[in-house]
Amino acid sequence: MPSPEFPVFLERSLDVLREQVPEAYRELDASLAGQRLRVAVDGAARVLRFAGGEHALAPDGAADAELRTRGETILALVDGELGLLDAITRDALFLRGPVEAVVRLDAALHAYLAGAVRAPGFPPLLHAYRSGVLAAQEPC
Amino acid sequence: MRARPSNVRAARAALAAVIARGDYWRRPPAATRGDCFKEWTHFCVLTEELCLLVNWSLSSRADGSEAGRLTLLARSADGVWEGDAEALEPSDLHVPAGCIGADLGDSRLRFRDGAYELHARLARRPLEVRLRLQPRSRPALTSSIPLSRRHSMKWFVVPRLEADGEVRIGSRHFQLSRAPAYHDHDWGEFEWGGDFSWEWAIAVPEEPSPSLIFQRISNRARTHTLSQGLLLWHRGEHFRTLHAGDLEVRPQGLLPAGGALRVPRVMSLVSPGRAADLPQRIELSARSGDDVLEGAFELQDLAQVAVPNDGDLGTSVISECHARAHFEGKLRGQRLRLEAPAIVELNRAEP
Repeated sequence: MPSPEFPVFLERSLDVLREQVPEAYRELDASLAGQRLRVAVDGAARVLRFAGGEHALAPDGAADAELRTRGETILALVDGELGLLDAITRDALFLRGPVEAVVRLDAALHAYLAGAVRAPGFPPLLHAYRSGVLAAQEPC
Repeated sequence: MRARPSNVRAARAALAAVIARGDYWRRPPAATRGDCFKEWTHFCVLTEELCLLVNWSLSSRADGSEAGRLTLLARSADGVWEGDAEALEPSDLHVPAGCIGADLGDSRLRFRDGAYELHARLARRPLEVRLRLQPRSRPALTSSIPLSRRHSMKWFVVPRLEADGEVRIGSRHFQLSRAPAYHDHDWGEFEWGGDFSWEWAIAVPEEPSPSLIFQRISNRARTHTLSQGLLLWHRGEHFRTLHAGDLEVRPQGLLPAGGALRVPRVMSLVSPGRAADLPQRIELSARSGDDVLEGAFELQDLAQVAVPNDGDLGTSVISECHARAHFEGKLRGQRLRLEAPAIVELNRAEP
């Protein structure tokens, strides 16, 4: 069953970025402008696009590029246990799309992360997401 | 000749009073501080078996709130670094201005009976420190160190202390007894990523060798040196400062930095830092009148503290390099020689 944690985290984190680190949000917008990015984590997918300086998240659908991974990989990346290149070469994180779209995705990812480490509202969101991922890993 | 116990007690009480007057948290109230005020208190322990850094920092945010952070780094003799930099919630910062003591999350700092007592542990990594640090030299307080045309910082330093206590790194346990240590406290208004970079090096050999601090502040591109100096303390007293024109500094070689521990760990993702221009050796020659000192810091390995720049989306990286210092010379008519573990701190901004 798709995990509900990531779509909630993604939506709230984009709002936090827009409010608290607008320069990172603008970079994200500039990187993804005109592109549709499918983000799928633990089977739950959203399509992110920017238009007129604002983001919109749609339920699953067609996209220009795709990023697919699992919650535990995100936490391993955040905790420095895994590098981005390692995650890709170990098939723990998939990037798919034309070269130009993947290059834009890389720029967008860096803008998002640069905002995330500056936004005071980000740590509580990550904490809640981490709790959800860890809880989902526990046996019933 | 041995000092009388009453004289020793009086000297220690006087030293404690000097420290209490200078080494307190400034932490100006939100209404009066700028939005780039920063302050930190920093301790290092340097033995052949263990190199330890403990740093509590506070920094203002543009919205008037404060960010707190604990950085703990430990390097064992096998060259392996452990540690992290953990954010502290504003509600966990109990740092009264005017006091040395503070409670920061699960960690605490006290100044009691003339000695620092600190307990710090990381929430997400297996590293815990419980130390008592007894000052063994007079401190120094700088008036203001310019970092750039707009920004400056101030610096209070106790260049030699003795540390007793314990450090736990995972299942390993290090017991320290009279271990050489260093402490400084810094504060000022400046932006990470501003037009500055610094090189900072300390060596605290066993007495009676002198302890040594080298500092050089340059512009961000490191094409222009704003200030540099070499400070020596001997037998507990400030002994000699060699200023800019007395010093020749020669960075040599390239220190491999790939794979170095970078904290907070998420910053490896934000700024992987596979390329770094860190020297492997910093040679120093100092001459002033009849005084001569020659030597070098040989950098061995490192851990890095990465801080988001304030004015752009880049990162400032503070490389804490484990090194060996060896110096020899003649100052004020005395032959001096030191060889000891050292820490060389190099601050670079990445775009």
